[in-house]
Amino acid sequence: MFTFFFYLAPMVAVVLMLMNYLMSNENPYVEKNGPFECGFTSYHQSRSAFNVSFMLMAMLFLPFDLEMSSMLPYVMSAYTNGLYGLMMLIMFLLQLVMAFVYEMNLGALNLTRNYTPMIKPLKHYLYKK
Amino acid sequence: MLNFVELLLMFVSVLLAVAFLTVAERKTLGYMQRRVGPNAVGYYGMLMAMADAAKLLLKEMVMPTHADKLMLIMSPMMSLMSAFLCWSFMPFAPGTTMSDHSYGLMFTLAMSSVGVFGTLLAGWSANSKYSLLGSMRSTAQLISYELMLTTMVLLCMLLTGTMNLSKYVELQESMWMGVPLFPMSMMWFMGCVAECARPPFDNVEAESELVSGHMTEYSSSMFVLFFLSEYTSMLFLSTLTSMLFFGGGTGMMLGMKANMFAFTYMWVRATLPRVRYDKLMHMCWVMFLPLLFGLAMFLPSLMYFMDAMVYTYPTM
Amino acid sequence: MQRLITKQVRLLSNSTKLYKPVATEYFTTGGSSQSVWPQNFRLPQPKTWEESNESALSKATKFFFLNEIARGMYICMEMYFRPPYTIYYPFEKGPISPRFRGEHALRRYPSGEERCIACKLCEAICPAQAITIEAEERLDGSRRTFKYDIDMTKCIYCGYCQESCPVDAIVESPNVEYTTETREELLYNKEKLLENGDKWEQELQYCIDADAPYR
Repeated sequence: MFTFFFYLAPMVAVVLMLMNYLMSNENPYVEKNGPFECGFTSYHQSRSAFNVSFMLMAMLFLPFDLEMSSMLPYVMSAYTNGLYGLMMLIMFLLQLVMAFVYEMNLGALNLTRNYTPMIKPLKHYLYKK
Repeated sequence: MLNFVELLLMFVSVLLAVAFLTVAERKTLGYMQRRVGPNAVGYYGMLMAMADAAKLLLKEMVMPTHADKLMLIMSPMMSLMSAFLCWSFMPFAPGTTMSDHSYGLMFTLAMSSVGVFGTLLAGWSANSKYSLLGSMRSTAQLISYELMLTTMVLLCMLLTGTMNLSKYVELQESMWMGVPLFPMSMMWFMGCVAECARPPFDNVEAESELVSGHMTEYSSSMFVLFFLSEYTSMLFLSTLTSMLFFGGGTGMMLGMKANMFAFTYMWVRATLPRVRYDKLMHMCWVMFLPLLFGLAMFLPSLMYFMDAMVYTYPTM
Repeated sequence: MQRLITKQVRLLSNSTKLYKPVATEYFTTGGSSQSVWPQNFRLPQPKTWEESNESALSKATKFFFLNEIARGMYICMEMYFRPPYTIYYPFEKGPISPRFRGEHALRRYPSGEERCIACKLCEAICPAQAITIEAEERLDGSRRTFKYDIDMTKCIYCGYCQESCPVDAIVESPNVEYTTETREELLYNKEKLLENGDKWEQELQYCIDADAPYR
């Protein structure tokens, strides 16, 4: 049943595209097909470099998503694991929370990045004289 | 045989619901702004969705220059497919789903994660700076809020002990889960609005900045697919909200609750201006996520100390 | 002993003789009392933590229960139930003034003689150069045009031709519903304009009578 639906859903998409392909007229010319540049002709710089903070967000998403996936078996079997399982979960989450707090204070989640490193002041806070 | 009829019926009703949702949104926004929405097409403008679809299907399919044609065509199809496949596990009555599966909720989460690919590839394949920027921003936003949604669904699964979405209705007969978890339901709703990239979190299509973001270079049926996938996921997330937190009932009751949440999506759109992008990311990572990690440690501990852990049968 | 001389700076804003408009602290209206901004137009500046005496509990409640957002949403809900302002255009139309500038028309005198004397003032003043005039002595010796074209696709409907005409020949009627199916039909020539004038003379006379005291 699910496989039937799995084939049906893309079929809807394909049917719509096909109907459009059959029923539309085609009249391509340079001004229409060119990339959108608010009226100017582009210099084809579309695949240029983008801000590194987006990449950083994606990379930071990965460990936290894996942490959530690792929590999945626990939430399904919480009763069976009793106190021991709870302690394991708490320690696991605590480690990740510590890493998250460190990262937040480091300023890695700032989208407007200023390039002064924040490690030095942090060491000063951790090892207060 | 009747199985397939049932499946087709549910699928067609979802499609029709999504189509009429687009008209409902325009009319609702219109009345909130003291004007009428579309009112000329059918009686009170009801057939506007069909008119929109017909117009868009007759438009020319503009293939941008130097664009990856395969990725261009696949990305809206991926977006729509993932939005529709999420719906397959939604029970309209206990046991009445398109596939009654014991691990349905996990699959739902997986499908919404796959939906991000459509957005990502769409911006990349269209050969334009604005598309790329829009798609980068939207991908970062979608994955961050997805983290939040996954955590909250996991906490709900802790309270109910099952991934089978049909059981949530029975389990909430005594009390809705939104009563103890009310703050979490508010955060969930905000996360849903951000996940669908709806205003006030719509930097994806910030028209004044990015000219429709990753969908800039898409013309006719590809735009229809993106459009439909956005409204499908909106309707799906409102149904899931009412199911998880507000005791989604059967049939009409579920429909009415889901309607209320879909109306709230539009209500919020009419009320609030757009949130700045870095404030949006700040809200997710610095305001919501620490709170959620704290809750993820607190809730199991609380349940252990209250001796309220749920015993789950390993069923299929 | 030295006497301290203090001089008070005399500014316009702290003089007692000047009559200030109602409910403003600064001159937005240049001294008049009309179109003054209403009371409480600007929200007060949010107080810093030193000067606000709001308790932490109330601040936390506002933060977690989204007070301002809820208030905004309530206002939208009120608006949802109020009647909309839309009028249904072809069936209901809004009011227009007698000075409204629409389609052009060439008028005549009550005796039937056309008013236009080919002075070409309208052609000279048209900002879009939409009017083209050529004139020749008519058979009975009077000065008249034989070609008077207005290109309605160039015209910007400013009304300068109407203002500049010394005999009130070219006028703009309040008609806007003259759509055509081809572009060529919109390049009006003299016959079309005269015909317009004959069709719309009654309406034009009413508009001119209504507006004459102000012209």
